[in-house]
Amino acid sequence: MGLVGLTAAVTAMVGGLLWDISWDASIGVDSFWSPPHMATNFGALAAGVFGLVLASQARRQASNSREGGGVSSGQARRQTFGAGLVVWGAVCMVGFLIVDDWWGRSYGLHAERWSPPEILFTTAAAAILAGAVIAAAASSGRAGLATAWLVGLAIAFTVAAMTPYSMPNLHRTATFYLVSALMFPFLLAWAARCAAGQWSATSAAASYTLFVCALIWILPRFAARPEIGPIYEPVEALIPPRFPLLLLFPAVAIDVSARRLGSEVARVVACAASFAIIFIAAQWTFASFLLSPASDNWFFAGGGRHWPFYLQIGTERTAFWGLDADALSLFAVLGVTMLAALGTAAGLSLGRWTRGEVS
Amino acid sequence: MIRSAVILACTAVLALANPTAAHVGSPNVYYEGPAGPYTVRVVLRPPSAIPGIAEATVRVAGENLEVSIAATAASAPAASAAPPQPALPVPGAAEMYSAELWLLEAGAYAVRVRVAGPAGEGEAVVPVNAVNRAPSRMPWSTAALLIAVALSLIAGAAPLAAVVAPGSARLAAVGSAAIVAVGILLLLRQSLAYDRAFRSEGLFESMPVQAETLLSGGRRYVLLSRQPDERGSRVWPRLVTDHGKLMHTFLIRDGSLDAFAHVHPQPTEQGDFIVATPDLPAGDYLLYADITREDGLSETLSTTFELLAAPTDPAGDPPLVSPDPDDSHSVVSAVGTEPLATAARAAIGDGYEMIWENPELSSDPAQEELRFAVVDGAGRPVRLTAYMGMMGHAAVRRLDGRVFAHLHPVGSISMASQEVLARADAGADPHAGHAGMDHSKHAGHAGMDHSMHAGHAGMDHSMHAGHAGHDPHAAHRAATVEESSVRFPYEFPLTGPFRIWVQVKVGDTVRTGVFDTQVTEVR
Repeated sequence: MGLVGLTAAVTAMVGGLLWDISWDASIGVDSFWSPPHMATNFGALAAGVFGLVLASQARRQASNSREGGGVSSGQARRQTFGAGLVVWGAVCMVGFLIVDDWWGRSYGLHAERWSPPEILFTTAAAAILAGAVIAAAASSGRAGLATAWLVGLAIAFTVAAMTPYSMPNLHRTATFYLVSALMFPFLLAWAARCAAGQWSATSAAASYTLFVCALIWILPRFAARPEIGPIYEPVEALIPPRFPLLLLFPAVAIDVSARRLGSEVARVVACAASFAIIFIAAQWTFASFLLSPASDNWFFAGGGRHWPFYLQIGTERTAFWGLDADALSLFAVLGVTMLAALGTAAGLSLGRWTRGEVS
Repeated sequence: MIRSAVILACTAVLALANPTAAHVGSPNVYYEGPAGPYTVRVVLRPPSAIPGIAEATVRVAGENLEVSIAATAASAPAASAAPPQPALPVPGAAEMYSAELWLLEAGAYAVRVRVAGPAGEGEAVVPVNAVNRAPSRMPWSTAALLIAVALSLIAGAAPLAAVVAPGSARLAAVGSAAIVAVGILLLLRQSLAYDRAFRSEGLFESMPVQAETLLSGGRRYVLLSRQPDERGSRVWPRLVTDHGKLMHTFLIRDGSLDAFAHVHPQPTEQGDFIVATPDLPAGDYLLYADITREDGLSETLSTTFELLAAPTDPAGDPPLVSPDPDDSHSVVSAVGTEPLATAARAAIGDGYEMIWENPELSSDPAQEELRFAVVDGAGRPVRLTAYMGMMGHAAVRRLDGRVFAHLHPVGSISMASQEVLARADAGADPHAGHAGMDHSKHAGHAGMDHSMHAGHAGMDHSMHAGHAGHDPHAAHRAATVEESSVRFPYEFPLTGPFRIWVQVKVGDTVRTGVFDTQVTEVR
């Protein structure tokens, strides 16, 4: 019960965040009580409550295991830690809500990137997501799917936090691939190792893809129009998020490498190299499709159509940006591989710990 | 070295200027006037930071009315305007409607209030400045909550770390708590740095000016010039006239606030402003100058200067500039020399008395207006005459200078910026254009007289008096109570001691009533 509730709450939190981004870009007017904020805030707070439930369950299991039950003390300890981290994140979210309200009144409602409220929110959400993954992975029973789903949500959150680097218009810049290499191999390798099952990284990437696609297909069905001016971009319905990154392909490679290869070094090298080659090749090609009229439909929501109402954007909507100063070079590809290797190594060892292979 | 000296000098100069837009410390906007066949009173409470939410309330009499409000940035093309949103009736308050308006961009905004009902449709344009103001101090309750959250996060990290590292639990607990504590301190440091940068660079600052006494040809003038901006330019921005004047300036003797003048400087050939000084005692003076820029942004410039004594032997040279016929001044007792309780009546010369009809306003924040009436020595109402298109002008100052506002019966708005914004609307949006043009036409027709315009709707007290002023027969009958009174929509923004100067014209003479009050409650 605790794990199902926690997974649902975290889903509401991340879904609420993506919904909120769409809401802000389509309607503009929001408040503490607007539906996306409610989903995000109450999702986070509910996650904290379920975290408390899970922590007390883990404590019971730990005392049972001392009396000869089936759960190892290490497993109970990791579950306690995961659940506790979720609670810690929920408390941090309360801090964010207080700071955010004050900040908006004092310095304006649109906080800049990485302003203190945004750092607090990101820390809180990251703690909740990480805690949920650890608690799920340490749960007894068939928690593999929940774990992969939660990693998928973590990927969706990361992509949202990476905005604007994650826009298709920037998919030929070095920065986009470097930031991606820093985050995604880590998350996919963690999934590959911590969740039960042979295709965990693939399941996590599929969860992310499905989750974002569902929002792309659902959100624009709701009519919405900007309620504040100036309005430069016509908006008639909630604008969809950008099509998910093609992480499915490197995820398959990471699953295969993690399973087939014997030594840890070989796994890291294979995962990093396959991420660099496969992800760059797939995304580089796909990005031009996403900016072309061919993707301007309900399924892909591309073609440079969907922009926030307050942006004055012309032909650059379908252009690649940053090709002069920040183009992806061979040197940058090397950097991507290095970062992917570091991320994979970190993800694999965190995964081993999460699974209880090391204590 | 030189650079830091320059910066130091500039800082010292800038410190003289008050970093506020129109009015000082009185950001709320009050407007009373026509919206087609209706008379509306609009109160706008702008946010202290942009983007932010302004609170709008509209009072309008009548049943089955639909009130809607839209805010349009003056800098944005009219086609980008947001659709008007309904203002909803305020529960428990008759004839009152409210709405929240988001102001996204800094600068002048036109708030269009539309009323539709049985009598037809009408619109009023109310200008408001969307600017960043200094953030207020964090409330203790908020700070206490945040401290509690921070302590919980630090304390919570310790057992978490101890769970995962049972072998070295104490070290892990202390280490993780320390890491979280350092993280919170870094965040606090970032916040404080942001706050400092916001206060030093993000706030709207009215244009820094300097004033000096100019003695020439045996006459005394005040010369107002602009401080050089960051590019060294001393050129004034393009201004538009408000009540026919480019600049409305108040001179108030610092400290005692006993000497007061309302004068209208004129541009010099060098591009500065100059005014012949009325008969004021020498001393240190505060100067407030209201201007409206061409884009509709209105500002109150402020500075201090020493008014030198007038030359004792006037020479026969022609004056550099003649006094404006609408200039006026008064000298009364210094603040604090008389008890405030006597301040509801003020002698204004020749046996006339000005009565503050609702001095209880200072303890009742719901009243939203200051009301004054003039009676003669026998206590009979005295008819007031419009001057500069208004039945009255008032200035309000908190004794410490934290608040200064220049008010009219139409409220606290700059009518010049109202005209600019109504014209801007007329240029683009055909619907708004109709109303906007209608508005400025009426204002123009009446010589920018809003009270006259309101008078046509037959709803405004001051209008009757205004109308009477132009009515040759009116002079022969006794004035009514309404013709003898003047109202200023306003709320005091802060508690504390205030002095109010109210100027009306009786016959051909502008007379100034001065009132002191202690404001005990604000909204």
